[in-house]
Amino acid sequence: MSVIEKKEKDALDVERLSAQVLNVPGVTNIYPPAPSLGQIPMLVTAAVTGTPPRLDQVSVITDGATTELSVRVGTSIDSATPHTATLVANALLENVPDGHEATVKVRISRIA
Amino acid sequence: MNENDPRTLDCGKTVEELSDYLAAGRSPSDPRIETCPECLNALQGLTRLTQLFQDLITQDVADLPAPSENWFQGIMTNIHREVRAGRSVPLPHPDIRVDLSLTEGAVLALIRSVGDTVPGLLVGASRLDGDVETPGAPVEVSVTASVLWNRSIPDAAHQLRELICVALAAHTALNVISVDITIEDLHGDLPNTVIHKEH
Repeated sequence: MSVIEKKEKDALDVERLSAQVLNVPGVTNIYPPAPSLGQIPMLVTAAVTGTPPRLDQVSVITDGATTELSVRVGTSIDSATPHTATLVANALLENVPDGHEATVKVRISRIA
Repeated sequence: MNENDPRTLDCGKTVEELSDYLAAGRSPSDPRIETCPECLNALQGLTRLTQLFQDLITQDVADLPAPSENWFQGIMTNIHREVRAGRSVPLPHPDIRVDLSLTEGAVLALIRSVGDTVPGLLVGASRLDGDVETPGAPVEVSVTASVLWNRSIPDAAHQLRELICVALAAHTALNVISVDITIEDLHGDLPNTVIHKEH
């Protein structure tokens, strides 16, 4: 793995991205993505390996050139939700390596 | 998951299961529920409803108009309907690579939660009418509620409307053109609400 590839891999590390999202003021939780057919391969793998999947984190889907970052979060009722959502998106965008095409999807599922 | 079952949430849980879970004191903790935003939104509404029911049955309500069992069932059904994720309510962001949104369920749960802070008032149902998925499109908010029997209905309705307007302005980018409040029922005393207000 080249140095550049390692930097890109580190930048898109799911655990690190998730921690950054949770550090955004106003974010209370990261929730698993809504149930979807796309989760089936992960759930099958988990069933075979016996390892429960970590779903409550940022989802990173990349083909090497294009990256999709998505996350479903809860926010505090004491913070303006549009502002919190913007901060989450900005935090994720900052991690996209230079030259990558990326999209960021932030969905607020609970305000409490 | 059964999307056609009117009592089943998107995650597969039913309102009855959540009600039983709440009755058991949320113990043992079920991570599938505690990490599901729709379930948590439903639990919040059910908690308030359960509190009201317990308050009423421990009071001497002989002379007061008590809500019927159907009334409670109706609110449970409304809670279920509202907490489903529903439509995506967009939020603005200057970068075209970014897609920000709220679930409709989160917005309706927000309305219920702020409504339940109004002393002597319990939200029955809430609805967003209009194309909430198109930024700037006009949206009408409709809310039904029950009010404490000796509470001023105009005051309660006014307070509810104000809180909803403030909450939606703070937490969404919806172009709300009206908030219609309909008081459909009266109910007995809510001592815990008064206590909560004092804090």
